[in-house]
Amino acid sequence: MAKSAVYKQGPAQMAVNMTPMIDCVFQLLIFFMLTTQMASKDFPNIELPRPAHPQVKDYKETSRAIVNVIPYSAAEIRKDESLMGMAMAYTIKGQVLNPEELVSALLNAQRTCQKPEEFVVEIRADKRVQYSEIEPVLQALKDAELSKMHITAMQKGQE
Amino acid sequence: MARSPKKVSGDETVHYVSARREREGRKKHGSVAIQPPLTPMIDIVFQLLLFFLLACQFRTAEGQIPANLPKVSGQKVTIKALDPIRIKLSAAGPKRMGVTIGIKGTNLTFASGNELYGYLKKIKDRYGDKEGKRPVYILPLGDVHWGHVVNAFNQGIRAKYKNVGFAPSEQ
Repeated sequence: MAKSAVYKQGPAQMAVNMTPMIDCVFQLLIFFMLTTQMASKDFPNIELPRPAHPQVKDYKETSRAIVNVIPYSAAEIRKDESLMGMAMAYTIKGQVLNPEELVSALLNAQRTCQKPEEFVVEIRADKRVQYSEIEPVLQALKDAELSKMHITAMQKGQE
Repeated sequence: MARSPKKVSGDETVHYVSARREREGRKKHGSVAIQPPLTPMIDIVFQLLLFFLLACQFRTAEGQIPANLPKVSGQKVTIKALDPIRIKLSAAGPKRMGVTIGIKGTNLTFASGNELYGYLKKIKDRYGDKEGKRPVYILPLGDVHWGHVVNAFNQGIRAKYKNVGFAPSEQ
């Protein structure tokens, strides 16, 4: 049998060109590796307030304690509507605290931070929680004689 | 004789060649392309990519509004008596999720945070309070949602008042 003029060493082998796909996969991988922020105990997923024209800045203080006020889940509220607006938990660094424990936890966080004189308390509360549930945190700040406070809100607010 | 690697042209796909195939190839053609085994690396890269695609949850852009509580100890500061603005917030609407914004001692009400801002700015300009020294107190009822309280607080800061504070809730 005569050999093909085009394929001198026999018939052509089918092969998918993988190189561009691998290039793209590497690009995606690098993007995700650089942008992903792993879940942190300090930032549980809650719905933050969205004020009109928010006057917020990202302070990124090093000497701070973040007090998270977490509401009940939608499923729990569906079961018992009286839980709506109530705080399920107060947390500092993932540690669930009673309102009575807040003062000692805040003072402890101040003692162990890098610059105690610049210590700031960040109130990170869900927007659906009632004000009466935030008051224990404000009271704890007052009792611990801490005057510097930040309120966390979304950077893009409602128009 | 030293073996020279086969040159790979631009659009040719290269593959890992096993030792057996290499021996066979050498018998046939004299030389074969030398390539590192890429397949395991690509497998791992795909695994990593899949992990990041599934596990990645972008964080929402959040920031902080600075606020200061009055210091309990320290020197007493005499503040020139200025009538504070008392912003009253009460829950309204279905399931008490909305809010009514008013000014205590008047029958003024505002439909939104922007309207409240307009009022605060007007008061500031009218009394020539350029430095924003007049205290602004936010008086929410206990059942008002935190989102509305922060909105009112934010409008005070936005109108450049220096002394914006929260009052204990009124039931």
